[in-house]
Amino acid sequence: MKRQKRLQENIRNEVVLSPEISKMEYPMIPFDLVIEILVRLPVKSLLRFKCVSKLWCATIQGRSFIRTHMEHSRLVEVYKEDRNTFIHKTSIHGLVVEKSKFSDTYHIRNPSTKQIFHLPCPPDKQCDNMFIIYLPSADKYKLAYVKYDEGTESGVCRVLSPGIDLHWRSIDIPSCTKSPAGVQKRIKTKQIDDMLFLIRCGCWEIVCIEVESECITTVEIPHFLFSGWEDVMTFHWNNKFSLARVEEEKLSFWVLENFKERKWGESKQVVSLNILRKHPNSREFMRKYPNLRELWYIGIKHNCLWICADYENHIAYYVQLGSIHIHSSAPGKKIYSYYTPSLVHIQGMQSEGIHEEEDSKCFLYRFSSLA
Amino acid sequence: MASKGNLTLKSCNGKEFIVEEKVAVMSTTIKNMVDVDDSFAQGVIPIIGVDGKILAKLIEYCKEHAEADEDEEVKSEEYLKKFDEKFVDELNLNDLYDLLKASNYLEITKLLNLLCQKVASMIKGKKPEEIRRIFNIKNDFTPEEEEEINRQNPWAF
Repeated sequence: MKRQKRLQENIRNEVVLSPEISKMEYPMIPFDLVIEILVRLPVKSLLRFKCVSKLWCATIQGRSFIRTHMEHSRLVEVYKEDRNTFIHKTSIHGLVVEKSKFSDTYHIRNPSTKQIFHLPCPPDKQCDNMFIIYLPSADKYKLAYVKYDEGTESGVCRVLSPGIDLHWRSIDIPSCTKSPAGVQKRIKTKQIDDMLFLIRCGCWEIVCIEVESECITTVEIPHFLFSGWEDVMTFHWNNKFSLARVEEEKLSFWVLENFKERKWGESKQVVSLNILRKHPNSREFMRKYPNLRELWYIGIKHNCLWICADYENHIAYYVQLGSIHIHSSAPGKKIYSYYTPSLVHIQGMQSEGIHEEEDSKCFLYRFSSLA
Repeated sequence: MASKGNLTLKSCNGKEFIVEEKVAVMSTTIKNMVDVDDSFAQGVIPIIGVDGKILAKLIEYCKEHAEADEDEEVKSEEYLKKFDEKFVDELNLNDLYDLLKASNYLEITKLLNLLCQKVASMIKGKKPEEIRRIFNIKNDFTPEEEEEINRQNPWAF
């Protein structure tokens, strides 16, 4: 009788307590919180956790998850190694474009997922400045580079949609109408989002290439912007194309406000570089590089001017705050580039062969986290 | 009733905590309640679904961070980092999960980030079957399907 009563009590308790008990053993977490946790995991863990359940698998492969995960990823430095067989050309969203040192073979690789896509050989021997461009509306990638043969007036932009095009396609670049004949032209290309901007030194015209639609617009450079072509650089200011030049310890630049309307900013913008010589963080460094014109000015974003001095050092100058930080690689290492570890996948990508990896890939680059 | 500048928070099991407003409004949810309705600022704010133990933990965290936001000199970034590390290391699994849910509901973004990061570092090296146990998930793959996924990235296992 007593036993039965106890049993009944137990049953009653269990009914009341069971949600609590199961919570103690297996705490339930709402799925939106699970996602918050998953976006903070390394790629390797996520690839493994795809087989946890169908829901997890679909989530980890989802477009928005891949994007959010990338935003949480930490940049990884790519170091230049002498015995590389492939050279890092460019990268976006965790995809790196590499070229063989011994041939014109290119591929796109995601080092985090160990997947690879072999590209058709480009029709040109020398194609420096290869770009991989993300097209947000299509959620696709395109490759592009500009080719000018020495001494010729006309150039081409070669483009390739990986997985769609079997061969590189060519877009003719109109020859320059705004230059004195016979001027030797040096080409400078700048990528900003899904646009390529091209200047031909000596030519008072900018070629704007919309990579998605493959449309070309030319914009005249007013003569008053700069007195001459000497040391004019391509630059970006808050994702807009600019032309910059160092003039008397100052960086001056003109912003192309709207390339379609061919509209330039109303006035020249100026950032004083004097502080680089005075600030305790950069003073020593500037003794090594006394000529401000020898530094490479990348652009200004969120009020921070990025300057590249050499492979080992980047300067971040927070213009409004007047603060300067030097980002340096580990001693003796040359930073070649950066990439963001991601799950991004291009249709047609395959797993890197295990043998291939053991034979050559594993010592291509030494990756080290920027922790 | 709390004095001016203070708020009273009441846990689901009836425990009351008097906290400074600047501490309480680290929670966006509480901030919105106070902003929208003045009577909350006078009376008692019920914190639904959060018990006294967890609420005390939340307040402990918010107090440190609210004070640091106010005066960087006293509580440096480094101090906060150490505090955060100790805070999460001392939690048992159940408290960690309860805090995670509570900080999500109360929208205490900094704490939510910290806790998600903690769980991520706890599970990143685990096997899929351990993950299923931790998150109470039923494996709905057939053995063949699971094998197929394993085959795609054998190096990740």
